[in-house]
Amino acid sequence: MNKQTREQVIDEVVAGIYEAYPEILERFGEAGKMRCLEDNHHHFDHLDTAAKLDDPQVFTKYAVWLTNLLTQRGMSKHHVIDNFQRIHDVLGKTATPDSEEYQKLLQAGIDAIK
Amino acid sequence: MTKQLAIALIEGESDNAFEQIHSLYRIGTPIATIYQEYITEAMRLIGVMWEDDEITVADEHLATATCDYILARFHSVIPKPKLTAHSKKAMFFCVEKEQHSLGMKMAAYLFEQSGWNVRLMGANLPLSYAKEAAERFGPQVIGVSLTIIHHLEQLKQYVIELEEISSNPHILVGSRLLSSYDLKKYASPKTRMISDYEVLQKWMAELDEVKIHEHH
Repeated sequence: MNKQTREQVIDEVVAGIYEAYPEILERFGEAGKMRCLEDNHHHFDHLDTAAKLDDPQVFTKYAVWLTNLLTQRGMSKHHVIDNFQRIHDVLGKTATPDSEEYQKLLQAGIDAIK
Repeated sequence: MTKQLAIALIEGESDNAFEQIHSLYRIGTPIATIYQEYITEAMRLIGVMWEDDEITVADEHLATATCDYILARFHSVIPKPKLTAHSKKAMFFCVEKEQHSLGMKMAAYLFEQSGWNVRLMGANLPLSYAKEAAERFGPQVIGVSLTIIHHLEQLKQYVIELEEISSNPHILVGSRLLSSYDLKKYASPKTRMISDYEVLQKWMAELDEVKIHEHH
């Protein structure tokens, strides 16, 4: 996926998260928002690699690893699922050749966490 | 023991950590076993402790730096055969952008301890430089290492181009990823995947045997 599309999708996803959960801005401030952007770039790095290597495991293993990491730090797996679902939905409205493949990977990630 | 070593590394207690591995060596533990079952396991445990939020990124970085240091210190006290013009040659490095170099260093040290003339070229070596260095050095073995999945895509190109080097080297691939991914499709049929140091040591010994038979 090209850089511009990736950034547009991430901006929309992060804006959506902060709109749905305004309390996280209060709790973690602007630094938290930067972290959220960074995390979403990590999600896309793994989507890109899983697609390039044609190996969904790359993304599902990451999803499980990330969920463990975040639950150990007081977050819930629902945050990860919510984030992946938002990327999935924004990609659904985005006309890029990779959208469908990335949506499948995200769904596999969500299934692996559930 | 692994936990004890991990704690010394996290605390940056290099003398303590060194003494732990050196005492294993003194009682006759093979170095490949020390690398595999103590150092690698301690570093793996440190990774899990970070994942589980028991230690911070700073702790993990200190542990890695301390481990790097004690590995070099330990290697320096191991008696090594003297190099001659006939010593076999090996070079080791990590693929471009890869910064995790401890595993590759242990592999390089094992070769050096067995009397090989070794060039340890560290982390993050782009293929063009690796090839040029290999053409100049003429190694019989090239060890390529990677840890992060995003760096896997480039492995095939490294293998293809390095197998064309005029010294006709064996290409070894060492990676943490071997335990969870099939890396064969990113290599050639000739490439050897090295998942642990005991296997590596054995392969090195077999290579020496073959050479001896060839001479006879």
